[in-house]
Amino acid sequence: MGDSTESVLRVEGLKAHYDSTDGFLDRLLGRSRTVRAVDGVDFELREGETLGIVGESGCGKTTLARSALRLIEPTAGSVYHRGEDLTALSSPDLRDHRRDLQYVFQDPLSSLNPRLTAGDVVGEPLEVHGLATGAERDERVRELLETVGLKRSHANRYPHEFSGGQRQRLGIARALAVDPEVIVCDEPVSALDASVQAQILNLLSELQAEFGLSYVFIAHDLRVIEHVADRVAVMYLGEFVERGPTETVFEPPYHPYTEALLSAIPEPDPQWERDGVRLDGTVPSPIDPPSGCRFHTRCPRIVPDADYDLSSEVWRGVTDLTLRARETDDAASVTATRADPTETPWETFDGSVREEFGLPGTLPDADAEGALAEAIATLHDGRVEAAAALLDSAFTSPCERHHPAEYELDTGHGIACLRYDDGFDEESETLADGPE
Amino acid sequence: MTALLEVEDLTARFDTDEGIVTAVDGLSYRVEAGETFGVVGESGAGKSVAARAVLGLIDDPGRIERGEVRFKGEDLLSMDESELRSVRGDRIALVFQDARAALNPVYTVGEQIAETVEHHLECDPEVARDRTIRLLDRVGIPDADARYSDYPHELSGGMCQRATIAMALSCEPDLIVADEPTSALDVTVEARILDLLADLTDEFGVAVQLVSHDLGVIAGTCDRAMVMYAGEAVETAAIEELYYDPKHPYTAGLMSAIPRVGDGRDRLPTIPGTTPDPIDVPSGCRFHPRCPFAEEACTRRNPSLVDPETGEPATIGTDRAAACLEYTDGLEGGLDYSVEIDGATGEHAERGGDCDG
Amino acid sequence: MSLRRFVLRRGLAVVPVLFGVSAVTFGLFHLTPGDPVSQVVALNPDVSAAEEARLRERWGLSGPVWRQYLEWLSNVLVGDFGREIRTGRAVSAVVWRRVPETLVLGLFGWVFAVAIAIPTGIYAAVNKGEIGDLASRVLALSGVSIPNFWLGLLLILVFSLRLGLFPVLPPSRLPLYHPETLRYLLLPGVTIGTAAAATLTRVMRTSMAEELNEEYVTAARARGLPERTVVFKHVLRNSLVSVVTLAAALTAGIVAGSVVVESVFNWPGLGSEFVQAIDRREINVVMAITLVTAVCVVLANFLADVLYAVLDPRIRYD
Ligand code: SF4
Ligand code: SF4
Repeated sequence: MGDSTESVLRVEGLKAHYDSTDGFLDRLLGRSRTVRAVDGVDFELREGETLGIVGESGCGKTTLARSALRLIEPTAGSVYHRGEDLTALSSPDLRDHRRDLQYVFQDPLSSLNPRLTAGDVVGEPLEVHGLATGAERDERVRELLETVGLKRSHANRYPHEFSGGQRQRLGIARALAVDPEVIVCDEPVSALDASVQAQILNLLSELQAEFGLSYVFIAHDLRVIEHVADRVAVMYLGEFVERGPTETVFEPPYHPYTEALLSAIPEPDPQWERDGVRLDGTVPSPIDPPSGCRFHTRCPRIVPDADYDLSSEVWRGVTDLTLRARETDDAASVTATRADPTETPWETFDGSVREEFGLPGTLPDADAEGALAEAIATLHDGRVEAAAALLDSAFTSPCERHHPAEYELDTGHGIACLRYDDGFDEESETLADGPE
Repeated sequence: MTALLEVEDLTARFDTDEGIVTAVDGLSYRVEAGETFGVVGESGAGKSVAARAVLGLIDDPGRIERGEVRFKGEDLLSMDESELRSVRGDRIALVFQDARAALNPVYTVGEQIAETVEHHLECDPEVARDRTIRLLDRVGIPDADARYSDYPHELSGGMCQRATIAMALSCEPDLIVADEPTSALDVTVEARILDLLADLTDEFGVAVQLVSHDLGVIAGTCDRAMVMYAGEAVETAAIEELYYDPKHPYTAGLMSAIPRVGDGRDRLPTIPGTTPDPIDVPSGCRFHPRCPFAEEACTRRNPSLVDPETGEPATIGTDRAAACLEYTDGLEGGLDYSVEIDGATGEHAERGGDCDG
Repeated sequence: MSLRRFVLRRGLAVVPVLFGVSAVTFGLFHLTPGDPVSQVVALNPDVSAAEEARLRERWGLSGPVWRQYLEWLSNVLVGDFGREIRTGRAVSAVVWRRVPETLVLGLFGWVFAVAIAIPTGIYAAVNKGEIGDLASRVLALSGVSIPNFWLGLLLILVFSLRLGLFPVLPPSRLPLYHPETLRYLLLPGVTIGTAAAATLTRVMRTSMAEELNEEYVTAARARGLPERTVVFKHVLRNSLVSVVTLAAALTAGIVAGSVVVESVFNWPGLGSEFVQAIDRREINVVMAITLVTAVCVVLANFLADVLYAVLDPRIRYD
């Protein structure tokens, strides 16, 4: 995306995996579980801009921010700053870059030493980087406090004596102390009250204009992101699913995930009707992410298989049934009523399975109906595993088979969803995909 | 006509090391049967304390100083512990912000719901278990049978919140007091939980006192709402009036400070300063240090809740009330703000359409 | 992770601990000068140097420490703890005869501690800040600060010598299961359990008071549950989690205390034997007692871990 000469930070193929292996015995037995918190992310931060990164909790946005600054050691990929790859640098060299790359935490109190005064907190980086000492340092600290809207006299107070908003100002002053190029803001306003949140957002934008800062701004609140960001990246399970200039991301065409996030925002307007898509469940575990498109387990717009003539809504229901059958070992759990299947008449059971997954009494496609009916009958016999296998082989969405590439729609606006593949047919909602 | 819940002149204090904090000061409001009543405010407004005070759940070092909490005409605060216990969980249930913390980590989710059912409905464990599983299923927990035996840490935050909602509903109460039930959740989950609450209030005819800091949450779910600031109610109104014609400067300020998708504003209007130190609240109108319309009189006189049209003191039955001197004494400069409704709803209509596409 | 795997994992971890304990004790013992042979030699000046070396050879006291240790270890692994150098008796017999005496004393002290601590701790936490709480805290503090031997002497002085309620000397001839034993057991048992009781009370109180502040307690009250249910069903189980760990850790304290207390009360247990063995440089006896004690302590901790996992379902998954 764009011209690389003006970028202040460029991240390429960044991965941050960590091991959640369960102690000695697991290692002895060779069982390993890798958490793929960040799994191949590219982005570029240009001078003076704000890049917003948004996603639900568990999508990996904080790990991404920390590994980009090497606060966490990335597993793979590169982070270029001033032409050097940070991931390849030794600690002393890295320190030099760190001055330009500052981090502001969500809860400033937890990142501030409670025994230091505000003055020491802000002055510490000045000393560490050898920028100012003694009276010069004190004067610089007082200036910084003023810059972020605190009083000069606040230098003698302790962090716990400040309100949440003031502490966040303190965190920002500390980051500013070393005159950085880039500030990574990790949910800087999510713990604050609405009125204070607005103050901090305004402060950040004033500072950006004044000092020519570039921000990587991480938040779960799309309203905040839309307000602050010039460009936005939407993250899901360790990957970017959509990115582009803010206006393009917040306007259709959407990635189905972005669309779902947007329609979930509660609008402060009593007449506003909540409609649009709804998302079920939470982000799946990053230990063993879903195959193909990682969003397929929740996507309301999942692409039906071209062999059948089914809408994506029905397909969603069938996929949910498949997922449930795969997970459970109890056939009763797939019905709306949870009666023992072998003791309920087949029709009742069939009806309640369909009800639970929002499926019509007969699927519009005869082949599909045949496969579904057979699976439900198998479930009715209590053979859950066999039913799951039947469903698996009969209904596999292209979204489960292909990992979508990022399709570029406009300049700089990319969406990683098969619906934007050339082979996708709007009319029939199917994808002409070759065998994988 | 008495309302389902009538809170009158409720005052709760906390003894802290720094001094006495009056967390809730002379609060009066009502919740009608079957309605959803919102309580909005920022941290320190006293909304959570008010929520807990309804059930007499103010622990040391706090105490309820005065006031009445009448539930179906009976004052809960003058009941003895055992009478109060027969109301708690049975007639009035509480839903917490952090659902996982509100569940005991060492018992399964199902056990805890069944425990409540067994206790209040005096039924067999088997019956309680069945009822619990049906409830878990009703609140949208898939595979409720298996989830019954899950411990709280094995469920996601959203699922835990669903479980505590099932718990709150378990004895078919008349009132659910929900204290920031969705603040700890992701938007997508929040939207689901709010849908669920709305469905359930319809289905069970239960009234809800919904406490939230998020004006968006209140707008989408409540029939009427009350805005609190520094322990006091500053405005009460039917929901549309509150949003389209706010009478108190704080309400208006709060609404304009929220970033809205598509509003294209570069700067957000802010309310300067922060909520006051509860130990040392400002004299006169508590909002005056932050109020853009404050005048000299505001520093001296504390405005009481009045009907903004007539200036008559508000009673518990008043539907529209605000506490600003403008409505009693008249301010020299008046209140100078306007609400742009068309622009705002226009935005939504446009986006709503897009979502369907 | 299942409870079974958890138990298995913890069980495996015991093995290196036992190796460590035995190796360190063996090493330390050899750092201090003198061995039984040199003591024998000191008594019989006519023993020649060659004879001395032969004796050392025979008792496995020659060669580098690590070789001696390995030799000892390989014998222990097949169940042979060696012999007492002075008397030639089998060490296992010597130790086994003493184990029940100490076990009974320790268990008594432990049960005494738990029986006092848990109710007192609950009471203090529930009535936090009131007079009963203050009294229990003062008592607990005194209990922690009084040295074992002094408390023992004090108890003997008051209850045996002044009031004549309890016999002073231990039941050297009485079988342990005799009801009369209880009378002899009471004073040393209380002495040994007091410090543990005091520590446990304090932890019980703190952990209970902390749990009482948790949101789930408010939630349980908001559900209309009686206070009894809230405290004994909900809060207690959570507070026991930290108490269980400590109770196990205190086993080590009780073992250490038994050395002193057994001397004060002349109790014929492992503690007394241990002191004598060190005095006589009986390495095999010292090593066997160390090992038995270590096994007890490790076992107690292991049980605590299992109990911990049973009490708190979150533990199994960490
Ligand atoms: S690729 Fe398929 S599952 Fe993924 S977002 Fe697009 S439609 Fe949904
Ligand atoms: S009384 Fe005065 S300070 Fe208070 S809200 Fe009205 S104008 Fe503002």
